[in-house]
Amino acid sequence: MKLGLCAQVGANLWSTKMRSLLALLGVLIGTAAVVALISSGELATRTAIEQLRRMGTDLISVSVYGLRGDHSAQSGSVSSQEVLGFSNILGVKWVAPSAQWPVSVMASGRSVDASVLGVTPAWAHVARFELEAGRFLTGMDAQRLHCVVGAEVSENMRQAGVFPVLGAWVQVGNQHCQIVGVGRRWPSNFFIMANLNRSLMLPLTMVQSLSNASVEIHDVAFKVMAGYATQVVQNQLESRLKQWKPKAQIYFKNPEALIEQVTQQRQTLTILLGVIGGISLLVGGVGIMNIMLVALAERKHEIGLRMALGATQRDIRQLFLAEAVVLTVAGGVLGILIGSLGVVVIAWISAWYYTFLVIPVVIGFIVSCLVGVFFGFYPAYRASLLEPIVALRSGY
Amino acid sequence: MIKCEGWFKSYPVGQRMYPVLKGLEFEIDTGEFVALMGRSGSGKTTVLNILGLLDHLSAGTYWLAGQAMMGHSSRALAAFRNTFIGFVFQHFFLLPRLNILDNVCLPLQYYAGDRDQAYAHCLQLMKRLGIAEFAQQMPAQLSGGQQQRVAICRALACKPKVLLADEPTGALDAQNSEEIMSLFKELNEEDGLTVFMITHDSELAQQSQRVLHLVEGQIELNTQELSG
Ligand SMILES: Nc1ncnc2c1ncn2[C@@H]1O[C@H](COP(=O)(O)OP(=O)(O)OP(=O)(O)O)[C@@H](O)[C@H]1O
Ligand SMILES: [Mg+2]
Repeated sequence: MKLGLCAQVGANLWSTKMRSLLALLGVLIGTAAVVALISSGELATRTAIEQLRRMGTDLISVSVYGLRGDHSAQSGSVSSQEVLGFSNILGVKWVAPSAQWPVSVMASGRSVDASVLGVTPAWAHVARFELEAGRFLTGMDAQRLHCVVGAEVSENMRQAGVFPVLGAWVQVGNQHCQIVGVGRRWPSNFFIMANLNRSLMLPLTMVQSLSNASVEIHDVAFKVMAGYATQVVQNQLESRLKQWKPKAQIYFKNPEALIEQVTQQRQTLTILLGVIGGISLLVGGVGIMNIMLVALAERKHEIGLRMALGATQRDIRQLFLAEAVVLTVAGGVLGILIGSLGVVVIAWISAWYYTFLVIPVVIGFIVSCLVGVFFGFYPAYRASLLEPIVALRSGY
Repeated sequence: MIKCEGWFKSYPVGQRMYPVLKGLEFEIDTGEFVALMGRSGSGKTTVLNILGLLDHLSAGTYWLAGQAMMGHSSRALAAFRNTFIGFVFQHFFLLPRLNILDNVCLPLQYYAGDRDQAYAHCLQLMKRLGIAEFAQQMPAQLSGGQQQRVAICRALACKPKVLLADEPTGALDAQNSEEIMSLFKELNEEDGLTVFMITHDSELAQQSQRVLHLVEGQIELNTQELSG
């Protein structure tokens, strides 16, 4: 005896399989879109934050440039004394100034594709530059022609026949320097302008004396001591710099501020993507309403008969609403499955950190149920308002 | 059981109201078997629909089982239809998607009383009407006469007080019509069911206890009283 509402709903939907399937497909696509888009937005944000975090939240970098047309000495760069002055600021653990020296590099008579960077020993800590072999520059190297090369530079030299790279001599400008360290592949860092993999690093003091002080320091990176707020330290650095160089253009960057920014944008992104998904779910809902209205027109006579047999308006409403809700929930559940699978694929392709997110699934489920109730209600309501006699008289 | 006083019913046709029932009056006692005859378009179905609480009167009063059928909510009317009235239609009106058993039990969905008991009653009725063997079949697999038996079974599922039948034999051949008629008589005589039936067939009408003629929106006065 199929007295149960569920069994009847099933039988009714089954009797119009193709139509039900298409309506279900609409909701499925909509729900899958909601789940996939919200999840993707969240995973992309998390990945961005995680990547920023890996660069170190205790990092601050500053670039100093003179105003255009202002060539007065020292107004648009940082002097060595000022660099020393930075280390007095409370909370600053390391100060790592760097300067590019546009000069050619040769090894065993061949040109090497490397940019020369003047750095201090603290640079390795601040930039998280790790060594494959040898050692990084130390204070002892300050007046020596010692250098460290990045992973790509050493690879290029090896291919050019320089072996071993460690200990080899390279010609920088018209001076010969010995390689004392070979870097590991360095993950690029948003806060460090130079690509250290393609760099040859010399002591900053050496670069300045070799270039007759024509190389200026524009970039300084800082590492903040544990227990100090990055932003607070940055504010102090900023006020100090402004005091020294009222006319200079000063640009600060720190991962924490960026993370903050990304986090603030995350909500906007989630809402935006959710709305886009929601629109497709809405279209699915319209499809549900459409087939329910068709079903209403087709089954007017059945409604009349049921009313003659004692069905109340509420019974009729329930019957129709249940069908709409069953359709949307089925579409919703399948959509959640497919959407979640889609997220796995998207995350894999985009190399995002993947975690299964429950919230989008819950949102997808609730919203698809609501869509079913919302779009199913009107046809169900219309069905229940039919006059028994009118319904019964309609074509059989 | 049924008492009609001053029934008026008109339908809007274009701008004007077209009167179908004009001061109709009659009474049916409990356990009576009454046939209603009249020309096509005279308003028989209209009368039956009003009796069955499917349609509203324009004016007049209607007592069913001692209660005035006036001012009831649609929910209360649905409950009356479920438990007081059984409908049998000319074209059976079985739901094609449900099997015979489910069709018979359809009114139980809306039944407020003991459903298990009503279900047992349905099974018994199906045996009695000779359709138990078709329980799992679909309506389309049955003959017209068999389908009408299913419809009668469904009408009786919730033990109604009145059976309303609108040309129940209209779509059946002579043999099946005869069988349905004797079934009505049996239900009327053995179970004391009140039966109100519309028919075009005066021979079948003669088998009822009383024949009403609907003429010009009223019951013709020279109604014959028949004995059994
Ligand atoms: N919903 C309606 N709107 C307008 N007119 C209607 C409506 N229902 C019935 N009528 C009219 O009322 C009159 C009576 O109709 P009804 O169906 O009661 O006749 P009937 O006696 O059952 O006829 P038949 O023997 O052909 O079944 C008809 O003239 C019909 O046109
Ligand atoms: Mg009729």
